[in-house]
Amino acid sequence: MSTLKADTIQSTGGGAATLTKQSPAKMWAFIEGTGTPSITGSFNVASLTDEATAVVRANFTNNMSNANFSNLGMPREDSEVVMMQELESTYVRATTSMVLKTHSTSATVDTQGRNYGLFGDLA
Amino acid sequence: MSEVKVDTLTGKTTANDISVTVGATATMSLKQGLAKAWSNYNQFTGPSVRKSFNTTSISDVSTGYSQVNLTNSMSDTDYICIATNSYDATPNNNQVGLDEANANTSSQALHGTGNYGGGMVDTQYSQLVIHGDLA
Repeated sequence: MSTLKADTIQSTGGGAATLTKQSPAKMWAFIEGTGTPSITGSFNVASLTDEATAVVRANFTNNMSNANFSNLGMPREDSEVVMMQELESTYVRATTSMVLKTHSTSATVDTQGRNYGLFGDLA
Repeated sequence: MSEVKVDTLTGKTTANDISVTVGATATMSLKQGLAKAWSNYNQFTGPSVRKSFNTTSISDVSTGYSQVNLTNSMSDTDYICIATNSYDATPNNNQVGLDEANANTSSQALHGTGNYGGGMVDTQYSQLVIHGDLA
C-alpha cells in the first residue's frame, strides 16, 4: 500500500484534477429556520437569500461553470409531510446560486430545516 | 497527461485537509466534497439494503420511517441528508413526498416518506446520501 502526502492536487497544466471514480459535491448546506433562514453547516455557500415564504436561495462562494448542475434538496419537518421542488419558471437557474421551495399538500410552508446539495462543474 | 497511482491520499500539513483544483482556477477541499454515506434500500421489505457505503444497517422505525445507522459517525448533527424515493406497486400512491424527521444524531439519520394525502408509506426504492464532516 502506498500513501501520497500532498496539500494541493492539480492537473499537470495547473487546472482541474481528475479523481478516478469520484465526483465530489460542489456545495452542501443545512439551513435552519422557519423565519429568517440561517446556516448551521455548509460548504461553498457564501450567504442565503429569503426570496419569499418557503423559498430560500443559497448563494455560492465559487460559481458553477454552467447551469446544467444537479441540485438536490430535502426538507426537515416533523409535523407534516412536506415536499421540496425547484421553480424554474420563477427562479431561473444561474451559475451563482440554487433556489428551492417547500410546500405541503396544497400550501407553501416554511420548514424547520432544509438540506441542500449540488453536483456539477465549478467555473 | 500524467497519472499518479496510490492507495491512500493524506494531507501533508494536516492529514485530512487536501485541496483539489476542480474548476479553471477554483479549488475546493477534497473532504468537504466527498459523500460520507449513501444507501439504496427497499423500505417496503425490511428495510433491505441493496447497496450502501458507511452504513451499518437501516432500522424500520415505523411505517414510512427509516433510520440509517452509520458505521463511522459524523462529527455533529449539522450534516445534510438528502433522499429520493419511489413507489410503484400501487399507482395511486406513487407520488411520494419525503422529509427528514427532526431527530438526527451524529450516528443515525432518520427520514420519513409520505403520500400527498398526508399518510406515511413505505417505499420500494429509497436512495439517500449524506454530506458533512466525519468525526
